[in-house]
Amino acid sequence: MTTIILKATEACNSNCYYCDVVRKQGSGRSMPLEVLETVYRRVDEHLRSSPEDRISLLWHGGEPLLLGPEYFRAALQLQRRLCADTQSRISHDVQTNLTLFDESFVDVFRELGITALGTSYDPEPHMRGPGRARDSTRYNEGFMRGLRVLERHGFAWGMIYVVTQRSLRQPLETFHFLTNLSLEGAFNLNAVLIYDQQRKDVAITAEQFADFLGTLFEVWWKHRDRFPAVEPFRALRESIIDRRLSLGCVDSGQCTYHHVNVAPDGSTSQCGRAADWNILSYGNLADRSLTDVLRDPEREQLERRQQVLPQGECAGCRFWKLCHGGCPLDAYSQHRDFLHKSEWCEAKRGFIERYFEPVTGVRFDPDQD
Amino acid sequence: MTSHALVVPHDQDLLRRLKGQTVVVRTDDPASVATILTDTDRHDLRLRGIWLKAGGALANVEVDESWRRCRVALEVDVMGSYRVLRRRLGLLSGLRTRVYLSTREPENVTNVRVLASLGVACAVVIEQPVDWDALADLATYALLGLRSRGSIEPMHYLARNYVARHRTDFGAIYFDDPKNLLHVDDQGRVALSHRELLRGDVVLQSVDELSGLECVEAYQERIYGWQRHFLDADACACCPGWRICLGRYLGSGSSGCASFFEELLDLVEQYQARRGQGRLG
Repeated sequence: MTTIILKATEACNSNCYYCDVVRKQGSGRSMPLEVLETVYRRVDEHLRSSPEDRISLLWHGGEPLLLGPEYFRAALQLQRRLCADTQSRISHDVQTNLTLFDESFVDVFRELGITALGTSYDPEPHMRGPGRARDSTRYNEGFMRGLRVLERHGFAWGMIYVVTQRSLRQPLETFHFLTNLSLEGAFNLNAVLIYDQQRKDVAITAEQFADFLGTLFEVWWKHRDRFPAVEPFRALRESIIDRRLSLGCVDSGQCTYHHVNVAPDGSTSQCGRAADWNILSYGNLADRSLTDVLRDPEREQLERRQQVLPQGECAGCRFWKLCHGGCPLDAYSQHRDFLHKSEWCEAKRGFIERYFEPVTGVRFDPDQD
Repeated sequence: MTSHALVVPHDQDLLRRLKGQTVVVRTDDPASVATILTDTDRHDLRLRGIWLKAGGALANVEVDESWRRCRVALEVDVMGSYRVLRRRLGLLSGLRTRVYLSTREPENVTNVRVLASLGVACAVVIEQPVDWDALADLATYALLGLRSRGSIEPMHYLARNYVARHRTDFGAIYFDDPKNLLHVDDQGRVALSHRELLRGDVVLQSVDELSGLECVEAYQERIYGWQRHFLDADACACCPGWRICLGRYLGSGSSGCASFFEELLDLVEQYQARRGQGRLG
């Protein structure tokens, strides 16, 4: 499965405190339909030449719903016209703040095969919201309106919760807030990633993140059937206890040849952060095939990382199979080099050793099948 | 015609207007049950039940065989003399009648347990003052006790209907369920709850306007009223028991509801797990 992160627009109607997209890409470019047409031509070309592959198109931003339902209808037409024989191997996901989601998107999303939407929420005031003041009341009301439409039309949804310094004040209250809002607990707890000094007030350390997760884990473990889908708990349970490795792009060590970010002008890179930092750039789809982009020699440095780390910084670590050194972009942000482990490895290791294993009574044995 | 059931007074003119509709008929006269059955038949109404606000003591309510024909929600103030009540227990436990007792009278929680142990279906009306600990004991008895008996609501409602991935609203037990039940006065005006009807706070001026209910803002706000807890980030939003109470007791001056509903949620899950394992009689 190849994931295309389609940054169809860099414009956003929110000004989230911890987001880099709007901060770095003030222009708010959107992808012209001619570029989207090129994307679809490249997707079709790739799928024809790789009959085993499938494409997951993740509509990302910015806020992709700013493009409006007409844009998605145009995408649907392009897909039908340009990928007539391959469209059964194309799936769509959307990452949206939901504030613009209304009835006008319902039919076209259904036709694109979208059954669930990814979103994000923060109960902390003024973390998410439009304008300089980050009007969280307006954001939250828009979010709830979107949620009504989602529920009315039977879409599933999951959300990202960004753990910041403010989350550390009341971890359990935050956890229950999120599990009440999303009853299945379909959310990801992600540590905030801050790369500048101006926003250090919300940054957290790996150890703080481990302790935050640990505080929640005891409650989650006791009631894991009540809210089963909280991440990273679900994935670790599956990987450690059920012995079914369930790892996302950050931990799988397999993003090398399977991820590509497409910017509004058609230029490609490894992922959203790589695009923000102008690294791991693979050229424009107007000039190169998707297959070539996915085989770009520059990707080899990510593959090499998977050979170097187990012999070096990660040598002897019994959690290698669970994190593979973490996200290479995290390593780059600290060392300007990919051949290091992520600083967030310590969060994972600390959480598993200090909380997961003692609470569950199950010790992760990397050699056990 | 609406998919909602309508809670209506026993009023001939109104019943005539509602032909074909599903109704719950509200009355305070136990002697009118037989007449209500006849009237709803005559007007071709689907009678879901009778909401009988009798008041007084259960022991003093004259129950008769005609009650067998429909569900009766019988609201009384107290249980009354057991010696008197004992003579009617055989009949009462064989009917589709549920006895409602309020927590306003402290002994009612115990009396619900007594009645349920004798096979009478009961419901606790949770209103101030509430002894939450006593209610938690009752919930444990209701859901984890092994002897067969009458159901106790809202505990058994939750045990039957709770699904982790959905919000579970037990308001239907108390006819407070605007998604499915609307309240109508003798003028045909429609409110979202009985309390609002009594205040004259109506959303439609006539039952003839029911087809437009979905467009009424107050209706939509009520259906999605649960969202308000998250927008206000009030205490209910981060309560571990919220998914089964939905903030029903916020602002009622209640304290202790959070730990009660957290415990009740655990009990409901235990009940369902045991039922799944076939360990309940």
